[in-house]
Amino acid sequence: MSQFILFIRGGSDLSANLSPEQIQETVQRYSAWAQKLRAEGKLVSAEKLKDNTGMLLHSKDGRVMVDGPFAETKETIGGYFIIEARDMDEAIAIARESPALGGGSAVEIREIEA
Amino acid sequence: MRAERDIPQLVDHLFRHQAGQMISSLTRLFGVENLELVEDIVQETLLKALQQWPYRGVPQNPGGWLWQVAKNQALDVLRREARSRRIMTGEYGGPEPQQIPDIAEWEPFGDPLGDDRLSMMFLGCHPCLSREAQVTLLLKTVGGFHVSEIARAFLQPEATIAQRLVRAKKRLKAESARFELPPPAELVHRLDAVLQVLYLIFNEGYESHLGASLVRKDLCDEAIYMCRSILAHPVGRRPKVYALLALMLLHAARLDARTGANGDLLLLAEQDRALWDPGLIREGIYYLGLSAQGDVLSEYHLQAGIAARHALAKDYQSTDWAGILDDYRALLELSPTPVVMLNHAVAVAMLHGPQAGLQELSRLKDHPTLQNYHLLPATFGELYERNGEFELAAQSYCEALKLAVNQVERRFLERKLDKARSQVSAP
Repeated sequence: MSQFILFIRGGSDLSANLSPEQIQETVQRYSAWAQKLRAEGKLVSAEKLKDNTGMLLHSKDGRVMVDGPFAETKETIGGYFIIEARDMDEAIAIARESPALGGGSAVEIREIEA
Repeated sequence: MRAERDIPQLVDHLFRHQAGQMISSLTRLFGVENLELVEDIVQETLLKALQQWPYRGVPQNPGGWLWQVAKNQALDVLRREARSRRIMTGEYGGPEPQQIPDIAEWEPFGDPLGDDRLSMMFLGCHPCLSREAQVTLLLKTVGGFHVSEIARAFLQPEATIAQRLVRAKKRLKAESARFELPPPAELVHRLDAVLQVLYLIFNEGYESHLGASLVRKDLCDEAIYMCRSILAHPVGRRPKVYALLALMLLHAARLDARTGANGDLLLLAEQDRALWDPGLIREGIYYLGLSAQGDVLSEYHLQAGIAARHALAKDYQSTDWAGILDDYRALLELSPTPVVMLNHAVAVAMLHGPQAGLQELSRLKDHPTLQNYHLLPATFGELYERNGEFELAAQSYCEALKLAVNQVERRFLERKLDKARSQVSAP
């Protein structure tokens, strides 16, 4: 078993003009997905990241440059799930079933080095 | 496996109803003129849940969580307002010009008696608003319906609904409508308006006049939910309210049986009674019992009585038509509307045969308010058919088809028409 991190990027549905009923439906889809993973022992942890607070530090000619916060919602990572999977294929299968894709978000999958 | 039990499940329509509750309670705080601001706060609150719950899971007390967030947002707005007012009036640094209400102490659900929700219903059904506006405003505020959902339910463009809401809010502001329970002298009258609006919402759900599906369960559920909300409050516990709830529950019990597998309309005689919801019927009968007190016999009482006779009949043949006819007679005395007269004629036909029914019906033929009501010619068709007058039946079904808009009903009428025509041409 390996661990994978799923970054949820963007999410047009978060800012969209959703009805209370639609919001509940989305939450329920996530909840059902996470519940299934948890029941199968595949969900390690999940956290939401704070909105619009990311900073990027890099150095140039010995000086540290600070970028951010990043307001570009398409690129922002909204949160992450750490899951257990046999291999990348299974991790992709799990991510594919996540409600994030239906909600207009993208999922980036990275394997965590053991 | 352990984790599975730990995750709280969201009850149906929780967000919708929490939205209604939060809008009501915050309107008490911010006042009717700030309804728009209140709606924004509530929307922000729900979006916060949408952003957090997918990762953290549903909190143990979802309603309490939402309320806490809404409260904090409300406090932010109030502090911001107080500050900007101080700056504008040059009193910066001076004493607070406006006391921030102590909402930090509010109960998790704020409104244990349902005072706020009931006040909101009275506000939404304010006499300065048209019936249409009342229905729309009630669904939006107390019901937590989205503009798009109301538009879909009534097959109208979203812009129309949105505009109606804006106008209604302006009107309430212009009338200085107050957020409170009406004074006792007005209460009964105002409550009547609320009940009528709920009845309209339920009816539209039970037999949609528009569109592709016959039943809009959402609207029925919502009307029932709001009626229960009225009963949650001491001033709402009145025989007439019990009667309306009984009526709605008894009809709702049959909702699933009213359409067949392909969405086609099924008449009482064709319905699979095993699909009727015994729990709702029991509850309906219970409330019908509670409604039988005091000295008010309302239309809701009689209609609930009729619905109960249908719901309690083992099969179509054993329906108590004599009792139903009595109820319709009483209903006619109370409110001799043409639609009641039409239903009365059907009951007469069931008890005394199609000819007697047709005789009753003929009195309605030229009634001005029924000229565009497709169920009048449809009923003529049915009774002619039962009387063996297939040519007249076919003519009547044709007329009904000219008036019917709902597609399920149209399919039903087309089937009836075909059947009648084949009988005409049969040797």
